[in-house]
Amino acid sequence: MAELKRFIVRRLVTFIPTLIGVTLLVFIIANLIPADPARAWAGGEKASPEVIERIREEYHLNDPWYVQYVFLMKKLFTNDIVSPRTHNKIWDDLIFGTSQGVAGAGTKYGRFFITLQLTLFAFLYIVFIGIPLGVLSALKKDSPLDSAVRSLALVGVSTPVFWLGYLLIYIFFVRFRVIELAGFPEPTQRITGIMVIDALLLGENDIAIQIINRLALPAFVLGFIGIGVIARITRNAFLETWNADYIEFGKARGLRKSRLMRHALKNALVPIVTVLGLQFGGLLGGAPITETVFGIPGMGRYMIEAIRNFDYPALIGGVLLFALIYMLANLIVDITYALIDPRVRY
Amino acid sequence: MEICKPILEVKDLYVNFYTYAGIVKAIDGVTFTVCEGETFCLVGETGCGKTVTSRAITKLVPEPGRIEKGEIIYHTPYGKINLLELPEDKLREIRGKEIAYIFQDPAAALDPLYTIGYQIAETMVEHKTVPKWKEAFIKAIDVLRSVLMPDPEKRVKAYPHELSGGMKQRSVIGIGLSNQPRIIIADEPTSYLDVTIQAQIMDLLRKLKNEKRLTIILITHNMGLVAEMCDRVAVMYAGNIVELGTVEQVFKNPLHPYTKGLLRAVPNPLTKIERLEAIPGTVPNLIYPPPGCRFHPRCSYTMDICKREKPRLVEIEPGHHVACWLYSR
Amino acid sequence: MTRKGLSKTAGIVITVIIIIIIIAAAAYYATQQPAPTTTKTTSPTSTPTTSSPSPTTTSSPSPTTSKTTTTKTSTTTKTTSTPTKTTTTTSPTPTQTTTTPKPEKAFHKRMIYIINNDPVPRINMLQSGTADAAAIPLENIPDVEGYTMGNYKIIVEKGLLEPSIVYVVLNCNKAPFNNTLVRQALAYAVPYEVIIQTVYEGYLKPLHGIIPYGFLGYTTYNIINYTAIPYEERLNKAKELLQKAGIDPTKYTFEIWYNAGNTQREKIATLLSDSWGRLGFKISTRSLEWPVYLSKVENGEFDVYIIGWAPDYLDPDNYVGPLFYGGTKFKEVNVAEVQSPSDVGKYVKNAIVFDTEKYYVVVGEKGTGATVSVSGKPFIVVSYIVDENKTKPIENSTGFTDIDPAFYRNTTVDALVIAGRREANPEIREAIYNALFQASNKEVPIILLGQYVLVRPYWNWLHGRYYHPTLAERYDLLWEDPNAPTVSTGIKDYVNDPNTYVVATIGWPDTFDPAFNYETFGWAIFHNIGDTLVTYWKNETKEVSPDLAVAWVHNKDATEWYFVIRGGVKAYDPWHNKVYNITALDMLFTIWRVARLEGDPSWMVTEFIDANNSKVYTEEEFNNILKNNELIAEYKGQSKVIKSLDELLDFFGYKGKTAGVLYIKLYYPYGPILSILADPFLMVIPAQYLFDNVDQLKGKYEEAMNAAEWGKNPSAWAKYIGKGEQEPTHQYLHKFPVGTGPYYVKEYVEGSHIVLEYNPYYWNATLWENLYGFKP
Repeated sequence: MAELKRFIVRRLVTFIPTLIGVTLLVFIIANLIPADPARAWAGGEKASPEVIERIREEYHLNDPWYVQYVFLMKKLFTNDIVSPRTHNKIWDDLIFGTSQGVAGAGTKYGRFFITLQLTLFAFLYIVFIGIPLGVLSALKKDSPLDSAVRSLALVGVSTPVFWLGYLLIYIFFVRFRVIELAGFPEPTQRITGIMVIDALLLGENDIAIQIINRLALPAFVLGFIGIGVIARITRNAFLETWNADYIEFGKARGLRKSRLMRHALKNALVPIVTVLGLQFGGLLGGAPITETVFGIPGMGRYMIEAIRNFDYPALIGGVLLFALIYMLANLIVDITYALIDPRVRY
Repeated sequence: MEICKPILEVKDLYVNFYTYAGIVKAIDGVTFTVCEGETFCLVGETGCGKTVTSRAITKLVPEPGRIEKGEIIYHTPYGKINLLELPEDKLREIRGKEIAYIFQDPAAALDPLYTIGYQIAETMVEHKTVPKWKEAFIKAIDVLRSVLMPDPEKRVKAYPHELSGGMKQRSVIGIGLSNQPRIIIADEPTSYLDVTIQAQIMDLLRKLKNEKRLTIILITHNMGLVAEMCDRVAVMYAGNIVELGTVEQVFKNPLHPYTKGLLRAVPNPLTKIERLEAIPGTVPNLIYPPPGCRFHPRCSYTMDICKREKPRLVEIEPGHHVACWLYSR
Repeated sequence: MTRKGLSKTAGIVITVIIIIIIIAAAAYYATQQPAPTTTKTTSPTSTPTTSSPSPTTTSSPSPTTSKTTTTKTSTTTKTTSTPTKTTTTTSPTPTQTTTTPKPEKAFHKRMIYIINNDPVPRINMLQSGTADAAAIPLENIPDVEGYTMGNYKIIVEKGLLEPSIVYVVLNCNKAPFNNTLVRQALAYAVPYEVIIQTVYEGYLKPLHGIIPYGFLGYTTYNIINYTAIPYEERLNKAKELLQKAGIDPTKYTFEIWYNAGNTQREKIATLLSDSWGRLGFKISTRSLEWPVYLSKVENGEFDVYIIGWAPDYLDPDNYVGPLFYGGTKFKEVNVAEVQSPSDVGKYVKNAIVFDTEKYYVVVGEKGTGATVSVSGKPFIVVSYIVDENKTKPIENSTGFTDIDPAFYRNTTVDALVIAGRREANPEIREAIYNALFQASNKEVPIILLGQYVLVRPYWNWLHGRYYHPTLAERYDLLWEDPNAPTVSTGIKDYVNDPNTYVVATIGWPDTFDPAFNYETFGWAIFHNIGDTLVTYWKNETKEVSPDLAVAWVHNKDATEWYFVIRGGVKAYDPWHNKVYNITALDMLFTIWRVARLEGDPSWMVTEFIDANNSKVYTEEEFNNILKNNELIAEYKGQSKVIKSLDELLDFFGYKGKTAGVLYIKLYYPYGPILSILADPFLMVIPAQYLFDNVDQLKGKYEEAMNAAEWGKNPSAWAKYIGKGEQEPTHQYLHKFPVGTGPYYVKEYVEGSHIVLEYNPYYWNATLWENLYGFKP
C-alpha cells in the first residue's frame, strides 16, 4: 500500500510538467495563427482603436509570446483573469460557477461540472448497458443475440451523434413530450459539484428527478458509441478469460456459473478498464455536439466558442482542465489495475 | 490378484468434436473400469484422447465437443449413478467434491487475481464443506499444511504468481483434496514441473492416497511415471484403448504393437543407444480416421482384416486386455 | 445447415431488420424534418461584434429570419401608435387604446429566452408550442409555416426590409480593382438572382448603393440599376466595360474570402467566382477564421471579401461613415444652398455635380470660378479645404477605422460625408446623402448584394408585432390570445402560457452591462429592461419620442443639448429587492461611465460627447439658462425658441414631475446624436446601485458624488471607476443587471436561458392598465 501511495505521489508530480507542456503547446499553436484577436474581442470591425489598444495592453498582446504565456498562467493560477469573450473569470466560468451565491444570476456550477455530470451519466449507460451486453454476447457466442449485439455495436460506432440526437428528440420531445430541451435544474446548494448528488443529499428529490429527466436522453446519445465499443471489448475480453484454464478448473471444481463469471469478469476487467478510461476522456471531448443539440450549457460548447474567438485565457484554462482530467483518469485507471491485478507492481 | 471393487465404469464412450473443418471422432468407443483404491493410469501420445476421456467422466467436455453416447457408472455407497444422465446441478455437486481434478499447468489453473487461500476456501464453501467463509479461510491453512506447503499461514494469503511451480501444484492438489473426494483425476500433474519437484509431488500424491484411501486416475505420457505410480494401466491410441492391464502385465508382456513401440521408445539409461526408436508415421487425422483399426497405417503387422474391421478389447490373460486382430479372430 | 450456421443467419436477419426499422424511422422523421443542418441563421452579417463569426450567433433574439416576401411595407410609417397625447402625467408615450381595459389580451408578465445553438431543437420547440417564436434558418421556414395546433397555426411574416446588408469589398488599392470601370463590370456580373434564390431563399432585396431602403438618402433617381437587365446581357455589358477599361481579365488571379463557418457567404463566394470567372478572371475562394479574417482585411491584405453590416443607430452616417469614408481630413467643409447656377462659382473653384431628385449637389475645393452647365433645380454647394498633414496615407490606414473597408479614397465623397454629418437641415442632408448614394452606386468600391427581408415565424396567438430597424420589440407591447395553449418549458416550473412570451434563439448576450455590450441580443434585452433618454416608439423611424427625458432643447449650432429628466422613475434591483429613484445625475453617470470604461460601444459616446464637460443642472438653474440663452426645441415638426422650463414642458405636452436636467456637450454638431441616445446601451443605471454593492465602492456614494459636485464635475468619478473588462463595476453589472424598464432580469443560466419578469415598479405601468387591464 505504501508503495502505491508513493506511486501516486510520483505520478501527481509528473502532472505539473505535463500541464505546462500541454498549455504551452496549445498557446504556441494558437499564437502561430496570424490573427489579431483584440479586434475580434473588441467588437469586430466596428471596434474603435482606443478600445482595441486598451485590450491589447490589458492582455499583453503586444508583448512577446513567452511574456504573454507567463502572464496568462500566473493569472490563471490566481483566478485573476477575465475572459475577453464572456467577461467572467475563467475559473468562475469553468469551475466555481458564476452566480457568486446569488440565486438566479448564472449558475453555481461551472461549465466543467455540467459537462462532468453529463459525462458521468453517459458513463453509467456505458458501464451498465455495455458491459452486460458484452458478457451476454460472449456467453451466447454466435447466437442471434451475439450477432445482434455486435451489429448494433458497429452501428453505434458509425452513428453520427447529432443524427441520433435529432431522432431521439423527435421521438421523445415532439411526438411524446417526455423530455425537456431547455432549462437546467440546480439544487439550492452546491456540495460535491455533481448536481444530482447534491440534490439527493439535500433531500430535494424533485430536483434530482428533473435533472435525471433532463440528462437521461443526452447522456444516452453521448454514450451510444461508447456502449458499442465497450460491448465489443467486453465480449472479446470476456471470451478470452472465459476460455481460460482457470475457468475450466473452476468448472472442474464444481463452482457454480455465477462464481465462475465473477472470476472471468474480474480477469477481463483489465482491458475493459483501460478502454473505459480512454472512453471517459473521449466522452469529455465528444460532448460539444451533444451539448449543442440538447441545449446544455457545458464545457464543450464553451471551448468551441473559445477556439473560434481566440479567447486565449479560456482556451488555456480549458485545455489545462481537460489535460488534468485526462491525466487523472489515466491515474485512476492505473490505480484500478493495481487494485484488481496483484501482479501489477509499480 | 486382488478383488476389484469398481468405483467408476466407463462404458462405450463416444465423443465427437464438431469443428469448422469437420467432425473429429475423438473418442471412439472407450471402455474401462477403475477399481476403488487403485491408481489407474491412462497412457498415450499427445492427442490420443486421454484428457478428453478424463473430462468426459464428469461431462466437462468443452464446446464444440459432444458426448455422443456411452455410460459413466459411478459407484457410490448409496448405489450406482450414470454420470452422463445427471442434470448439471447434480453433476456440479460431484465435481470437486467426490471427483476432483488436478490439471496440468498449475499456473493456468489458478486465477491470478485471487489468493490461493481464497480459491481453496471458495471450493469448500461452494460444496458446503464449511459453512462460513471465515472458517473456510482458517481451514485453508490446514489444507495447505496437509499438502506439505512450507509456511502455510503466510502462503495462504499469497497470490499464485508469488509461488513457485511446485508450490502452485501443491495448492492445486490442496484444492482438489479440500472436500475429501473419493476419486482424483490427475491430468499430467507433473509435466510442467522440474524433475525434482516432480518426485516431490508424486510422493505427496502417493502419501495422500494412502492416508485418505483415494482412487487416483493418472493421465500421463511418461512411461517411467506409470511404472512407478500405477497399479493398472490403459494404453490409448487415437481415441481407442488398445491395451489394458496391470502395470506388470503391460510392461513385462506388452501385447499390442503400439504398446511395444511405446516401451521401446523409452531409452534405457544403462545401455548405449545409437538411435532413439520412434514409431514410424504420425497420429491420424481423426476427422477422417483410417478404417478398421486406427493404428493399422503405422503397424508392422498389418493384416487385411485390420484395414476393414475395428478390433475389440479381448481378455488374453486374466485382467490383461488387448484390442488387436493379432490376438483375436 | 449446421446448428451454428442457422443461428448465425438468424442473427444477421434480426440485425438487418433492426437496421431497416431504424432507417425507416429516420426516413419518416426526415419527411417531417429536414436533414440536420448546422446553424444557418439568416442574419449572418458581421453584426455588431459577436466574435462568434459562425452564422451570426447573436443573430438577435428578435427571432427574425422569417422574411416575408412582398408587402413592400416601408419599415417606417405604419404607426398604429398615433400619438394620442394623454394629458395626464404618465407616458407621453402614445397609447393606442381607450381607457377601458381589454380582457381579451393576455399581458406578457414574463419573457423567457431559451438558448439552443442547433436549429433542429429550436424548430421542435416552436412546433411543440414550447416557444412562441424562434430563430429559424431560412431553408427551414417551409417546415414550420402553417404548422397547426388546435385552432392556431404558425405564421411567417415576410416582406419588411431589414437595414442589415451584405456586400462584397473590392480592394481599391490593388489592380484591377483600382479602375472604376472594372468595378462596375464586376457589379454587373454578380449573379444577383441566383444568390437571392439559392442562398437566401428569395429573402434578400437587391441594393445598389451604400444606404439601404428605409434610411434617409436612399434613392432610385439617376442611378445605375445593376439588375435591370437579365444576367446574360449583364455579362456582355461587363465584358464591354472591361474592354473599355483596357484590361485583360485573364492576366488577373485573385481570391475571394469569407469567414469560416458562414455557409451563406461560402456559397456567395462560389457563385461569384463562377460568374466572374466567365469574364476571364482566375478566381479561387478561401475561408478564414473570424479573428484572422478581421486582422487581414483591416490591414488591407486582401483582394475581395464578403461581409455584412448592421446599423448601430438610425442614420445614414452609420453606413457612409464606416463603409464609404476614405479618411480625408479637412481644414474646412462648408455647405451653402444657392438657387442659380452662376452662384455656384462663388464657393468652389472646381465642381463635381450630382443630379439628385430635388437638388443639384456640387462638390469642389473652396475657392471661386467653377462653372456648371445644369440648371432647373436649386444647388447645394459643398466646399472644402483638405488638410494634407492630418490625412493618413492609405497604406498606413486601418480598414473600418481610418478608412472604408475597400481602402477607397475619394475627396469628393469624403467632403460629402463630413458635410452630411454636420448638417442639421433635413432637406439638405437628404440631398447630400442622395449624392453619396449615387457616388457609391457609380464608383462601387463595395458591391452591395442586397438588404435582408425580414422573415419571422411565430404562432398566430401572438399579436401586436411590429418592426423597427434598430430597436428590438418591447415585449410588453406584444400580447397573446388568452385561450392560447399552455406548454411547459422545462425550465423549472415556468410554462409558456398566454402571459409568458417564449423565444427560442441562439447565442448569448455578451454582457449584462450595457456599457460593454455592442451586439443585438444584449440590446434587445436592454431595450426591455431599461430606459434611454429618448427612444423610437414602436416602428417610428423619423423622430424620437421622450423616454427618460421628457423634453429637450439645443443651442443654435447643436453642440449643447439639455434634457429634462422625468420624475418618478424607479430602478428595481431584484437581487436585493431594493428600489432606487432616478435623477439626471444617474443619467450623467451612466453616459460618463460608458466613456470611461472604454468598452466596445464606447466610441459612440467618446466620438461625439464630451462627457467630462457635461453636467447636471437643477430645474432653477436650467430656467435661468433658458432665460439667458437662445435654446431651440424641436418636436413633431415644430420648432421654437424656449425661454422657460414651463414653456418647454408645455411644448412637449408634459405635465408631471421632473428630476433634474442633464446637459450634454458635443465636440461638434452631430445631427444623429438623438438616435445614438436612443440606443439601448445607454440605458440609465442608478449610480447608487453600484456604490451600494460593488466591494471597492461600498459606502463611498456620498464621497464620490460630493467630489463630482453632484454632477457639475463628472471627471472626479475617475477615481472610483476604472477601465476594461476587469473593472469592478463592470464585473458586477455583468452579473447583476438592473434597470428601470418594463421588465427586469429575474434569472439566467449562461448558455441556457434568460427569464425576464415584469417590473412591479415600472414608471409607466398605467400603460399596461390601459392596454390590458393589468395592474402590477
